[in-house]
Order: sequence, then C-alpha cells, then structure tokens
Amino acid sequence: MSVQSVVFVVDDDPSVRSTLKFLLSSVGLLVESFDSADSFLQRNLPDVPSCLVLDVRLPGLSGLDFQRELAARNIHTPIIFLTGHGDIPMSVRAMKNGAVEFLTKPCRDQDLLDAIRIALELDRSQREAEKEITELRKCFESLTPRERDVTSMVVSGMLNKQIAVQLGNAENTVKVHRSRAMDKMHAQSLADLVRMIEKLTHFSDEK
Amino acid sequence: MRQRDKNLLDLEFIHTKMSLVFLQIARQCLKLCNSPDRTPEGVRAQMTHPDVYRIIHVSDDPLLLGNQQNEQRWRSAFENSAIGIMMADFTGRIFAANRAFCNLLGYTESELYKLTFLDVTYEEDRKTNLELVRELVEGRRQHFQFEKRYYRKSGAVFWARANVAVVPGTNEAAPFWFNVVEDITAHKEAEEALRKTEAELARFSRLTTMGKLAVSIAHEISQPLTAITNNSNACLRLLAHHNLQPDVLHRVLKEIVTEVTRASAIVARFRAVIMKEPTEKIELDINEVIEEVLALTSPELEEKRVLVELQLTKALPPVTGDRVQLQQVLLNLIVNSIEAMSRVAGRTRLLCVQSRMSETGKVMVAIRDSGPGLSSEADSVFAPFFTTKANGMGMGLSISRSLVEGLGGRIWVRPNFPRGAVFSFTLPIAVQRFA
Repeated sequence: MSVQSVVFVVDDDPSVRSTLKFLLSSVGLLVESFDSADSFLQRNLPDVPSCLVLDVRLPGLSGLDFQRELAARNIHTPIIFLTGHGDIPMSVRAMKNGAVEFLTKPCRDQDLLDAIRIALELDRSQREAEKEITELRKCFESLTPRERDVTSMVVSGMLNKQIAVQLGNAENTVKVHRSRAMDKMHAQSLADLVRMIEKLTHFSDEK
Repeated sequence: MRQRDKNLLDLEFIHTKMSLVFLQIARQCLKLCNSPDRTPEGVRAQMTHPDVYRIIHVSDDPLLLGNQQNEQRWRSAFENSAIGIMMADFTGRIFAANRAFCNLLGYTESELYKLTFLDVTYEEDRKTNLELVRELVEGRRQHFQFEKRYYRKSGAVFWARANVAVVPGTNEAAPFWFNVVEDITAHKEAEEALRKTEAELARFSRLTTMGKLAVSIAHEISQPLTAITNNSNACLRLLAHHNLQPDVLHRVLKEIVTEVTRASAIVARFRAVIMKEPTEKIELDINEVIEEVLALTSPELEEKRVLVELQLTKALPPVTGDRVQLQQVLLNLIVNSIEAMSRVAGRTRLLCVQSRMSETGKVMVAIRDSGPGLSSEADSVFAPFFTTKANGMGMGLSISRSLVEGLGGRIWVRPNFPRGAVFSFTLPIAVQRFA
C-alpha cells in the first residue's frame, strides 16, 4: 500500500477514534479522524486514494444518511462500515449503496485491514479510470463538430465512402477529418478509437 | 312506627335480590296472618322453618293473621329461587337450604342438615369466614358480603359470593343467619385469565423495551471493546516488528484498563435491570429508581439530543413496590417522551423529571416533555392498543397504568405549558413501621 493513501475514520467515540488511528498507523497507514460526518464534509479531500471507515451510528447525520449524502455530492470514496449492532436491513442497505464492507464492532483487525486494502485499491482504480475519462473527454472536446460527426460514423462501422455520401463531402475530406480526429484522440488504431468512444459513452451513460 | 312495620323494614336489609324475595315472603305472611279464623299458634304449626318464627311474632298483632295457601306460596318462593339460599343457627349448623343451594353443593337437604357452614367452606377461607360470622353472632355487624370457595360433596371447589345477614332472635325464636349464594366461578376464571394475559403482556412489553435498550447497550459496549481490541492488535503488530516502545505500551495498557472499567459499568447497569426477581414488593426510594432508569436511557437521550432536567425532592418517604415494575413504568414514560420529542425539530428537547409529595400525601412523579403534546387523544392514551407510533404496539401506557394501579397509585396525563405533555403518577407511601 502506498504511503500516499489516506484512511478517514469517522466515529464519535474518542477512544475508538484514537485506537483505530493507532492500529492503522501500526501497519503504516496514514489516518485522519473526524468526530462527525459534518466535520469530514468540511475537509477538502486530497486527490489521493482514500477510503472511509464509518460508524453507522453517528450524532447528527447517521452513517447511512452520510453515505447517501456523499453519493449526492458525487464523492465516491469507498466506505467500510463499523457498527455496534448490525442488523440485516441495515447491512443490506449499506451494501446496496456500494459499501465495501460492513463489520461488527469489535472486528478482527485482519478483516478491517483487508477491507481497507480492497477499498484503497478500488479507489485507486476508480481514480485512474476517472483520470483517463477526463483525459479522453478533454481530447474529444478538442474535436471540431465535423470531426466528431465523422468519428461517431467511423466508430459505428461506416466506410469512408458511405460517410462522404451521407455528409455530402468528398471521400478525401472525410479521410482528412478522420486522421485529424485519430491524432487528437491519441488513438493508435481504429480499434483503439472504438474502445475510447465506448468508454466515453459508457461513462456519460452512467452519469 | 308500629311493630309490624318495623319488623318489615328489618327484612329489607340485604342484597337487593334477597330483599325482593323476603319482601315477597313478608307480604305473603301478612296476608296469611290476616285471616280471621287463624290463631298465631295455628300459623306457627304450619311453618316448619324457624326463619318464619320472626314473622309469626309479627303476627301477634291481631291484625296479622293469614291462611295456609299463602304459607304454601312463601315456601315455593324459597324453594324455587334460582339463587342458593341457606340458613344456619348461631352454632353454624345448617338448618335450611333451598334446592338451588343443594344443587350447587351436590348434597341432599338432609345431608346438609348434618353439616355446619364450615364443613362446606374451602379450608383457606374458613378462618376469615368464621371471623365474619362471629361478628354477626356477637352483634358487631348486621351483614357481610364475602367472596369465598365452597367444597362440593365431590370434593371439587367453586367460587361463590356469599351475602350473609343476621336475623335477630325473639322471645319465641332463636336468632339465625342466612346466606344467599351466587356461583361466581366463571367470573373468577375470567378474572384469572385476564390477570394472566395482563402479566404476559407486561412481560412482553418489558421484553420489547429491554430489546430496544439492549440495542443501544450493545452499541455502547462495543465501543470500549473496539478500543481494547484495536489497542491490543496494534501492540501485537508493533511487537512482531520489534517496534513497540515501553512508553507506548505503558500508555496503551492504561487505556485498556480504562476501557475495561467502562465496559463493566455498562454491563452492571444493564444487569441491574434485567436480573431482578419479578414482583418482589419492597420499600423503594423513588429517586433512586428514577436515576437508574435515566442512566439506562442515557444513550437514547444523548443520541436524540434530549436535555434532562431533574427536580427530585430529597428525603421522600419510601414507596412500596416492585423495583422492576417501577422501572418499567418510568422506562415507558421516558422512552415515550424521547420518541415524541424526536419528532419535533427546531426547538430544545427538554425532558423534566420531577418527584415530590402530592397534595393527597402520596409520592408523585411527573415527566414533562417538550414534544408535540397530545390533542384530542389525551383521554385514550391509556387504552390498550392506542399508539401514535408507526411501529408501536400501544401497550406501554396501558401496562404502565395497570402496574401503577396495582401498586395502589394513579396515573394521568395533562398538557404541558407551553407545549408537550406531562405524565404523572402517584404511589402510596410505605406503611411506617414503629419500633
């Protein structure tokens, strides 16, 4: 695990907070702790792989409401729930909303550490994917409207000739648009371009 | 007042049903005695039961002479009464019993005349019954009503309400007493079934209240356990990497001890509530019970951000009751208040618990909240199955009421000023023992 990654602990009990910090630090994790959901939300989150270790029962915003609030704010930091009294509906709700793990206090330290490793890896790949998408979108946005039209037609499997007919252009013009688009998207091959556009469409669908 | 009227009035002394029978008897006798061709002696000869002697005495008045037919009617009234009637002399020997009474006990008339009332009385009721009859015989009371058990001839036991009245003696006749007996076995059985159901419900509601508390206790206790586990595991990991400094270990061990103490305190608090024997009536300091229940609900109070104001009067006289029952009543009221207040936002959630002497010399506890209060519902909150909660069973207050009333107290609700509700209950103070 890279030193850069951060584990955020949110628990209203000071001794649980400090001992969790002690435990996680003992395996070399960087820990930041908060006594409530609100104080966490006031923190500007660093752009490093991170995860949240969250008590279900918090004063003010409860753990489960906090999870929903984060999703609403488009914060996708993976969450590990800790609870003193987990019941089934509660854990189902947490897991359905994308929690990584739902552990009952006091939990085995290995279970918690495993969950944290999974959560951090998830966040790392999430962040990488997001970075890639941002990059792709930037490239795509640099295309002229005509280049975008040509790109989407190419991706849908049309030949240059067919595109030329449809757009009322010369076939050569289409070829020029096409190669400019490939350059701007940094696509090595047609297959590469198809994959990129798929990712972009998939991501905006998800949104 | 003429002697005749006075004697007639004397007959009106008892249970309505009985009075009617006897007034009828008396009227019949008067007619009987009014018959001009009958002498008092003649009338007396017609009457086999000593209970009629008194009425014959009335017939000494020359106006009161009757005839044989009417005496016959009088006998049938007694014999055909649907309610059991028996008569006994001052030694307790039964000398008259109607058909209903014989059927009730399963004896024939002649068998009954060999017995005393104690022979057919259930063993445990004999002492009280005898005492009551003694008071009649000694003239300390004229009548009494007593719920008692009888033995049937078969040995079976049944419940009955005995309505007993004395008939004073005269110059010619010995005094006696008579008893109108109603079988109330079915009534008693229903009462018993109801009591059992109530006890069952009380236990159930206690379990649900306890269940609710157990959840919050479980959460509370998991906190120190988590702290202990985390600390120990961290030390183990550091130790494995030869990286555990003595000062760190020292600090961690001290923390562990603190957390263990915290966990034990939580366990002790919960155990104090659930381990008590049911219904042991002892003298209790109500303030102590209030404080126990508040300690128990403190997680709930903290979570719902409820402010508690205590107005406990010091040195209140003790009350008699069962600790667990009183805890249950207080728990119900406090948990209700917390839940009511958690439904309002934007103003202070204040729970005020007060204990004091009431104007009627009882110990009084009032629990006021700043919740939404009760509007038109106020009268029905104590009715079974009344609830304002989405998942409430509506038994809490109903059970609280039967518990308080069972301890000889009263419970009621009033609106609080400026908002919310006040639930109050009183409990009689324990009987003072003088040395």
